Amino acid sequence: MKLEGLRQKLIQVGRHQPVSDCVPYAFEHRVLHALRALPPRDPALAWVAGLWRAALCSLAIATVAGGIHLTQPDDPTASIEAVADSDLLEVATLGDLPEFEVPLPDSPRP
Amino acid sequence: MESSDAEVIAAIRAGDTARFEELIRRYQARLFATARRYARREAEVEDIVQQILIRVFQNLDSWRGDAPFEHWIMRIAVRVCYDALRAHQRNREQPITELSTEESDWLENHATAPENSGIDSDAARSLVNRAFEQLAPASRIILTLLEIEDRPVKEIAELTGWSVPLVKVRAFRARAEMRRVLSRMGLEKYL
Repeated sequence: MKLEGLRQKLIQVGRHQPVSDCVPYAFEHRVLHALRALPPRDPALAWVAGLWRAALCSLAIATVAGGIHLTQPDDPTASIEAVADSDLLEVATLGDLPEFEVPLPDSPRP
Repeated sequence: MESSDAEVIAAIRAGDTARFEELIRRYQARLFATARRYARREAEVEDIVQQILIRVFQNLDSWRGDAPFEHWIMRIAVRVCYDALRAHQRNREQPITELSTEESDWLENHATAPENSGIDSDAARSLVNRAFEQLAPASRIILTLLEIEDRPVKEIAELTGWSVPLVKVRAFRARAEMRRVLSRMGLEKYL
């Protein structure tokens, strides 16, 4: 508690501490000189950097999605439904073939 | 009549890069004041401000004009100062040195009569600087913006790029860290 009191007092001191905003003489010339000395930015490099970032993001998302997929337990009811769906599809497909056609009772015989 | 920030930036984007000097003249005093909060040596302060202005120039195309340019430039300034603090921490370990006689006197005075301990004394300022130099970069940034400069949490979140809850958590940790630093400096014995 006493330390907190001292801390607050020191913060109060910090608040009253004046901060100089003096600028060294001709500082803007120094900055402009430094800017001229910088190598020109290659737009192709910026593109490559952007593509790398995008590739890394995609890889991270794929890893997370893959991890979730692998760690999820199998749902037995889902697999039964899938088998039932495929059986129905097979029956429907076979029904379209002429040799599997079932004659209706009222239909005239050829 | 002086051109607005947006007009100057449009001219620079159009290729008149010499007009960047106008922006430097407009904002350099504020940037020096900000950098001096985090760096003591003048050469270091100049390097930080130069780094800020170079980053501003290089990223000028990303300023969309939906927020004042001053906010945008201060965001860059805070981030460059944070990077400088982190680099400084990596390069050097700050040893805790003995307290001077003036600092000890101020602490004894504070222990006996806290309300009478002056806030304008050099010894008190020296203690604040020493304590802040021992803090981790994130703690120093947060305490400076929140408690020394008295900025709202939302503004700090915008300046640092951290979320509002993260700013609150870091502020809580920074206060605790500062108490630990004061304890490590051996100031408890005066209380």
